[in-house]
Amino acid sequence: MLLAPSVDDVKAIIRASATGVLVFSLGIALLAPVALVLGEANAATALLVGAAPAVAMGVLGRRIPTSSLRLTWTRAIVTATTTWIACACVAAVPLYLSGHFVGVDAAFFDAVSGVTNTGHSLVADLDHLPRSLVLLRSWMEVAGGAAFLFVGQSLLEARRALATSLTPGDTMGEHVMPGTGKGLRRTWRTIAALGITGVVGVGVALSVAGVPLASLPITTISLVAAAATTGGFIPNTGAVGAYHSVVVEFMLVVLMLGGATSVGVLAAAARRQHDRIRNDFSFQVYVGMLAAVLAGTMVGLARAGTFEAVVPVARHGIFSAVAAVTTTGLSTVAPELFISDFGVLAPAALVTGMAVGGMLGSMSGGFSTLRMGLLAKGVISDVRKVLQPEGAVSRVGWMRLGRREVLTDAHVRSAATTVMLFLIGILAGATVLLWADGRIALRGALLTATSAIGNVGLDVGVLEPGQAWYVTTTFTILMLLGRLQWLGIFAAIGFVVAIVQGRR
Amino acid sequence: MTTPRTRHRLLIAGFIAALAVIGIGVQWSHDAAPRVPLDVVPAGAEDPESVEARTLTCERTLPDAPTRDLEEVEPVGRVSSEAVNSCPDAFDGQVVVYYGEVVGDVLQRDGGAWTLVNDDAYALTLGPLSGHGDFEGGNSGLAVWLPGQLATLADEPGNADRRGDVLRVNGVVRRADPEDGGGLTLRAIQAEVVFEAQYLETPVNRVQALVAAVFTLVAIGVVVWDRRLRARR
Repeated sequence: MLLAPSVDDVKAIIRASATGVLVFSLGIALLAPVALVLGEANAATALLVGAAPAVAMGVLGRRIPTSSLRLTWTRAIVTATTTWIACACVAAVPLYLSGHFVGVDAAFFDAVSGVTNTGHSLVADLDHLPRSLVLLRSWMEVAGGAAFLFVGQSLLEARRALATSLTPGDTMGEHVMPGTGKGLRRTWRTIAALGITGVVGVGVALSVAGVPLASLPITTISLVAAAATTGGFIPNTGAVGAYHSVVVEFMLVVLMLGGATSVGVLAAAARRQHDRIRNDFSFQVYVGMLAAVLAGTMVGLARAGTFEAVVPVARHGIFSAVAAVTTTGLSTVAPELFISDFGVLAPAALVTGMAVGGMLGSMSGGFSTLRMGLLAKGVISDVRKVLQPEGAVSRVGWMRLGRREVLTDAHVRSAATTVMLFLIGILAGATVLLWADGRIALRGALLTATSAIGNVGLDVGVLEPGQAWYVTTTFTILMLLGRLQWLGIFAAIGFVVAIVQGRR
Repeated sequence: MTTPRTRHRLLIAGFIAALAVIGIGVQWSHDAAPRVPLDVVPAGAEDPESVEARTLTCERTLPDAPTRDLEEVEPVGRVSSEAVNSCPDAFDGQVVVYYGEVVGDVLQRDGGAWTLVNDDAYALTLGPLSGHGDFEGGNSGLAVWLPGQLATLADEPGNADRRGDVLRVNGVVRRADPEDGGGLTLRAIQAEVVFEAQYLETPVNRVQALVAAVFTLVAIGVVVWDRRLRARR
């Protein structure tokens, strides 16, 4: 039986969503003067057309009176979903008005791609896009990545054992209401540290690589946002290889790894709690996954004869593997080359890395290393049960930042459900692509679908401007499902159904 | 006195009306975008793309797969970036002719410069999208190394304000260029500017400016009203 949510529930959700939309829109509005300084008057007005009504609605939404502002589990997850979608709607307006998108659906696709830190794009003629809109793309990634961490933080105590649910965040013992708790301060510090390190390091590396001073700030911001948030929007079509610099690539690898490592682990690293990190199960799986994908990619590249020397194999292999596992989706080569020049094994390893993704509690996508590890432990536990004498009890445990957790059936069931839903999403996305265009190879379709639902954004030339509306819609939904780990969308749909049909 | 139910309905109706007004404003702004297209650049019109290169599609030849006879597919003459990217193996080491617009950042290095040279419709024929609004897919290009004095040719790369210099490059395709850490490159032997950079003269979208002004004034009004109410409390 569904219980209809109270009016107060709805009001609290609107009010909390309004706060998120207000902050996001103010960020867009602040880009308008930047656009004017850059001499992009039409981009400035486009940014205002999108941001101004959203600011007004955000302010009005925050005035809605509620008897309780407490974010319960349901309220929080529905708020997160509505805020993400509302912010994407706001960002889609200036993108649509830029004239670089075939339709509203394509602009909305890019906006969703930005706020979900995916990096797929249907923009036409990116290389002539106004620079202020390049900054807008970076703002979407930063806001989306930060919001993802905060949502994770905000849902912490509501579901203590993360793996027993489909929640997107990492449990670190904070309270549900955002704005309090050392976890949130820790998140801010992490974002700030990543940002500052990135801007200084990448800026210097780009400068040495020969990027002219005039375009250095925007190129730096764009690349740092793309790597550190695992968003993957690049400022031009030339991929990271267009900078022809191993130092730039190294800096981006560091940022990608930082963006896909959980805030808890980064905080432990800052406190020099190396033992805790070493013993953390999620971190162990993350490192193991990176090593496996790296090995698969490099062996694949060597076997395919893509590169003739060891150094290029290592350089492109490391970057591609890190970009896949961290779900950043950046690449050192033109994306088409993944299909035409990388052989079979290397793309297969990369797709596996993309599907699993980075750590929970980070900005990365995928179904997470923790769930992967719990599934493996579940299998091992079952095998042990079979081999042990009847009636014997065995407990399988795992460490989470110094705390011992006991593996339960609920953990394994939840992880298996998420993985199964991901696989269904991949198959659905690939089927739609193959239906829409018979020329697309199965390998390309599976890679693109995995890339979308894993919030990776590595496109191999399949998703291009002018896609059929049902392709853009399907992939927009896949990106949202991937970011909100399905539960958010299910909860939002259930909430609407409960309003209409629920018992009062 | 209105009941809470009526008040809620009025709020929902007001919200939908506001969304409708925003939607109309956005679409009106979009449709009113002024277009001043650049001249169509007939770059390479006298030098059409090689038939073999245009129709060529292949996958990377694996070491244990039968080797392709390069003589059969050897691209002589002009190639497109799309053909090279979809079959880099067949073009490796070939001398080709390539036309394209310099875009993005020109990276000056010792002994030359790295450039990104696009040969899509926005680069070669139609010009930047904002000038005409005709969609012709995405961007496509190759990394081109311009050695020595050739590096000075690419002094005005394309961006939002202009179509960059359009070059005719005669060079060698390197599928895994050892001097670029294994990247796919085109190393220029000769190059010339066939069309100078052209600046876009995009007028201000007056309708969009008007809509932006109205929306901004409304937003400022709401913020001021909100602050006053808060101050009163």
